[in-house]
Amino acid sequence: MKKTFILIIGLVLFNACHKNDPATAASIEFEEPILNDTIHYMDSLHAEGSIVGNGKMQGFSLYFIDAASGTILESENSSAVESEYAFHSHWHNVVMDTTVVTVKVTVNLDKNGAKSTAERQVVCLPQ
Amino acid sequence: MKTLSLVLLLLFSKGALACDICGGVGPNASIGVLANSQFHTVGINNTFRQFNNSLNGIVHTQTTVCQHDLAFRWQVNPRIQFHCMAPYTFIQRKDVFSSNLNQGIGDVQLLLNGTLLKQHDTTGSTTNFISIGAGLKLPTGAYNKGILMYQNLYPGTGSVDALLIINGFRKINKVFGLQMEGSYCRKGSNQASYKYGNSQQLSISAIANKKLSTYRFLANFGINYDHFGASIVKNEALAVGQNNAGYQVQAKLGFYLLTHRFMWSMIAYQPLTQNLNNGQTTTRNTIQFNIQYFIKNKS
Repeated sequence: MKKTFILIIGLVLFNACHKNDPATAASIEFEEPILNDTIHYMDSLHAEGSIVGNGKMQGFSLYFIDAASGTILESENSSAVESEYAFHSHWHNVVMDTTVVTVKVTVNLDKNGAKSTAERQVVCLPQ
Repeated sequence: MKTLSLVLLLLFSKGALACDICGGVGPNASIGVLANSQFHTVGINNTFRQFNNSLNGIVHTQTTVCQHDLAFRWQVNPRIQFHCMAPYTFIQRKDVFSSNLNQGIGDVQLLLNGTLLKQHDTTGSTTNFISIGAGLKLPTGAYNKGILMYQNLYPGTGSVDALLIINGFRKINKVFGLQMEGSYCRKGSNQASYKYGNSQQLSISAIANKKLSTYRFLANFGINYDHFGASIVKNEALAVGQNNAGYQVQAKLGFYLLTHRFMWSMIAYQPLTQNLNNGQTTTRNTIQFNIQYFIKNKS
């Protein structure tokens, strides 16, 4: 009985330790925007999805980028240390010309700068 | 005191709250009533609600709503009561990126309630009671006029809503009674053509009533069912998961202490089952603290 108890405690601790290991990879899934979606003027570009790491991650960033110029139209950052995130953000389309906008998610896998990224592109229409 | 002990405390406990296009929904209906009282009342109702928004089971947003209502009740005549409730709302939304706090005067609600049936036993205690009411929610609070996201960050909805409510009470024995309430709220559109879905609420509660010295103590325990229709924009339905549609069932436990001039109450709601926004929104516990002052009706 005593050995079983020690074994269970050991497994729990082992498992708990591994859950706090730095992530080496992350799965980034977009629910929205849909690939190559068209966003009308004054409509909202909705970015939503989830990030699941194989360990603890050191935060992530979400960017709305003008694909042609590389200009960051808007960005948001989270420094929360978690093994999974859900992201949810909006950017309001006020472009003056037809613009391809890249929605990019960059995850900080560890404290040494390892990153994982995923992106989606949409077409934003002017007035 | 005897008048108060007769009892159904028609005190607005929940108002029609603005909802988050990405998230939470609030019950529309009111509960209870001191419908058989001949007192006017004035009071403060304080409601604290929380809900989470999640994706694939991962929470990305937590919203806390603190609503403080200045509530009046005017006993027009023995059968008619007029209610007015003016809210002031604090809404805090925390997501993975940031935290926002919005506050302001909310949408004022007006309700006219009429007694259809009121029967007494030989002691003067109410045995059967039915009332029906109709009301309006007016767009007095700030609301989201342009961008159709984060509706819940505003204390108002910008729409005129109509409320129909029916309330019944039946005395079971000297201590216990049964209270039932049903309500329907028809939502209007705001200037941005955003319209919350119509909502219905059903509730049933057992009420215990006990005299303690010069005080009167009431407790009620019951179940609330809320159903929310889908929100629409410019007559087009929003996508599933963003339209606030769904239902929730909550257990309710309330305690009321009636003194000579005041009624103090605390009501807690515990979600039992729910499916809001296709499971992406989860209502957490709700708690309410109220105080009402009774004004003798001289008419």
